[in-house]
Amino acid sequence: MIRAFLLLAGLALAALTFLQPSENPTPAPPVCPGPGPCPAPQPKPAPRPSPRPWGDLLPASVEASVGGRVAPDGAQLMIDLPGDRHVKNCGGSDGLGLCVFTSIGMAADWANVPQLVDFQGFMKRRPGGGYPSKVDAMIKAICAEKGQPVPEYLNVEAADIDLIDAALAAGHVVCCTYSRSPTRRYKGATIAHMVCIVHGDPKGNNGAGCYAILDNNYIGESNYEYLSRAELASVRPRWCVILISQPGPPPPPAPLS
Amino acid sequence: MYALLLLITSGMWTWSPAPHDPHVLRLWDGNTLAGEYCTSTGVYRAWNGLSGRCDVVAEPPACLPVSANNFGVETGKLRPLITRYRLSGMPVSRDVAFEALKGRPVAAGVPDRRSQRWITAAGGSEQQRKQLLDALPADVKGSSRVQSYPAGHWALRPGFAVRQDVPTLYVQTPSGGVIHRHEGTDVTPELISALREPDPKYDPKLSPDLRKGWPGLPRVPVPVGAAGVVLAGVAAAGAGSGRKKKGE
Repeated sequence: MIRAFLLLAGLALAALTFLQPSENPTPAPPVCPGPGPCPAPQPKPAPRPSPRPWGDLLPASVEASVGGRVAPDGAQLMIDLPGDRHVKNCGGSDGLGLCVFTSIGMAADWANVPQLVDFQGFMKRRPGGGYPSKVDAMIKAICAEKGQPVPEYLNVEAADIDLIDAALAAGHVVCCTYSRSPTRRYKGATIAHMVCIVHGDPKGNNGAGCYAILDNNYIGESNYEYLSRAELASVRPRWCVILISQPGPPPPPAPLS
Repeated sequence: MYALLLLITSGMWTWSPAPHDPHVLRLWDGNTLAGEYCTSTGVYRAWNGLSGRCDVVAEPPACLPVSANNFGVETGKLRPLITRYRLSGMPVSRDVAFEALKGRPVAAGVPDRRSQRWITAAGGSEQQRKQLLDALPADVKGSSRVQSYPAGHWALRPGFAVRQDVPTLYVQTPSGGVIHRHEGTDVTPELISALREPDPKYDPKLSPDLRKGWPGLPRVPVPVGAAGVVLAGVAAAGAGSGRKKKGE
């Protein structure tokens, strides 16, 4: 009984000590011992860096930027479609955009697939908006109208950046979904859009990766949007269309002696 | 939907919703009404100065405007939980998709086409260019980037000397240096053997020995993902306890 009472009293005392507000919540400034000038107050210590258990395995993030035909790391654009061949997006007959068909049209221009070059023109009188099975149907329809064979193409429903790398290394334009602009075009809003990826170096930009976006709402040779590999993954490249028809891209360079 | 139109101005052209009908868009040339487009019928009617109305069916002279924030992907019809690769409409595996790009997965090193030479047939008729390229053997074309363009095509950069009546064959190094050029559809055996000659800069020491596996690839498959981490942890713990027992 006495033990229980003592235990309860101890607990109550401990609780009181714990709950009692401190009279001096901030530490008192150090007393200047004198003589002589007192030291200047020390600045607040810098916040401790957050732990990085993965060390330096992940590259530092690189800020997205808009630029011309030379990437921020100095590399020449891999797919240098001339600015006068860039095509601006427009709406279909129902007001939905034609970014999918505009992107495929530019890829066809680069890959020398003439039956798909004016895909946007073909779609202007039809409802806009695109999705994988509609692309299949419309490619068949435009080729049938022109009496040309259906070119080979990949329709990829996966965020497969390794495949994007492989396609770019082989010289193909990658038409890819794009949900937001890391350079805050579209006021940073989430959008439903397809663009062309025209440059991809997974080791560029000091290992962060360097990718260039040709956006059919921001055409022109000075409007490429450069992203790191992590930023490319963040724009959700969840659906890609890649024309792989032979002879395939790209056009030859200017002849030199 | 058209209340949220992103107005596109192309030169002097501007679209705006008509006040009398939500399905009608008006096209303005500066401050002058050029025509009206009905989104429900898909018909554009140009302004008729005689009748004072938009009643002449025509092609719209400017691109139609795009709805705000949907530039043309119907996200509701994308299936985010499904991973699918299709080649010209036919389902294929991921490996086949990589093969279709004429390479192996990046981890094993995709052959970089940028190191291949160029063979370009330019000018003449399409039939003549086909005849010229068909005369080249498959192995020569397979190790090159082969293109065919009519005269005046944008891809023929300044410097290409091309004729309208006869095709011209250009063979170039990756950087553009011309190795060979001739006009006409004939391909001689001497040209083919010259194109087959090995690269004088070839270094056999740089060729991979596949008996040792692909360069840069581990020979044993590495577990991936959370399960892999757990497996690796269990293996490490097992190895540690094994060492302890041995030490004891």
